[in-house]
Amino acid sequence: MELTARASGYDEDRLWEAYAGRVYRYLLRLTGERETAEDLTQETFLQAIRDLRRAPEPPSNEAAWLFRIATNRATDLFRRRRRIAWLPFFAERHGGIASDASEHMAEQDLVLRALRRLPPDTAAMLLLKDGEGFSTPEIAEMLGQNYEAVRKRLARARETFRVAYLRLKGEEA
Amino acid sequence: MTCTYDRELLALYLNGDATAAERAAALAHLESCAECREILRQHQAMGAEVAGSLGDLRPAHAFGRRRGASQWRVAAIAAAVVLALLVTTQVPAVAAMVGKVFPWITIFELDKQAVDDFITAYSQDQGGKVFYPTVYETVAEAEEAWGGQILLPTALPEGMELDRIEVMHWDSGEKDATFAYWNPRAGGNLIIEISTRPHQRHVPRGATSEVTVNGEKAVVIRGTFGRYPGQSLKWEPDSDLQVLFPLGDLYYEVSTMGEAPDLTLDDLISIAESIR
Repeated sequence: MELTARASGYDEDRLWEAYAGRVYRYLLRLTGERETAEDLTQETFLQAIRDLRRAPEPPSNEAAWLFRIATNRATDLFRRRRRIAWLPFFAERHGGIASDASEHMAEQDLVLRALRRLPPDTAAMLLLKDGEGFSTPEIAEMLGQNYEAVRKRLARARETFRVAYLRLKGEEA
Repeated sequence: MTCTYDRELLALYLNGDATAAERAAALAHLESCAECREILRQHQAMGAEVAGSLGDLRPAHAFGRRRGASQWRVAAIAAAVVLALLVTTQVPAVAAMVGKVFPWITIFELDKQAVDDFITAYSQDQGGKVFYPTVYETVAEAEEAWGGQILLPTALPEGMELDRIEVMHWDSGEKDATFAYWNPRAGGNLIIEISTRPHQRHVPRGATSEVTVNGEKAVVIRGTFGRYPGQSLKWEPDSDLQVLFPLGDLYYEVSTMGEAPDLTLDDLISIAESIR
């Protein structure tokens, strides 16, 4: 009964309905691969539900807690890919974000590709800020780092992003 | 571009993270500098593109309706391995030598045993705990977490600053430390990874060469498979440049990561040699 009572506040379907789209889009922007984003989204929610069942109290900031899990899962994958360099062989078989012929979509694609040239954790930080609208203190809490450090890293990340974008644009011109 | 105003301060202002004094300074500068106003506009436009991308796209599969990710990955690796075996090539003499001196680097000789070992190791890896590195603000804190002094480069290219430190302890008792440096002007990244055991690497023929670091043999890997998915899924010979070498009981990797246009192999070797 106790389990049911707690589960009712954290209905798995509700959690999925409320956040699956956001988490998926975040992971798709970060990875650029639909299949990978699908997998990471599933993994994120699986772990979230596991955590909920074990946790003595529900998280106070549901969104921040979910995005923290998603970020960790993605960072984990990026690391494994570097260590085990075979993975991209099969990733190649799966489509990236579909590109549209329109000029605006091309620009959007360029921005996202520039973002993915950054170290993954830097890209994640910018996505949490710009894409998901988290505040810098929330991002700091999510990443388990102090506010002052994240405030500076985020500022540097923004400039690095701009430089990467200009360089990519120059390469393709 | 001519203005040398602190770009970090501009970004702090835009992020809403500037202190009152920083904000006032940024605003005063922006008033008189068209170049920085243009940079601010670029930041805003890029942020808007990120936020506006993908519409209300949702995952194609409902929760739990997709095969377990780890299962799927192992199956996919097995498929990739079968494909790769079809194009197995002989290992040339120089590659075999690198493999002999640095046995953790596999130069694409996809014999069955290596493939089996790889799949086993990877499956176990997937079944393990989720990887959560702990981030530290100072070298002293990282050394405390590591459990001893960590040797770092004493010579770094001008402008390189320490940006991030991570220490990871694995269940096996092994540990890794990562020191990420960056150059705020050039945007380049330098990564120093230290581990108590060598990390297995699989690289194509021709991507490795030998150098010496302080008179000892070291290996250079030129390029990487697309680590950032979507960026590239082929071997990119001009991407990451990595110098791998043992030092005492530890294994060091000094590498560029992603964009590091100003770092040459000689720079990396100098950096590596200053770790002592």
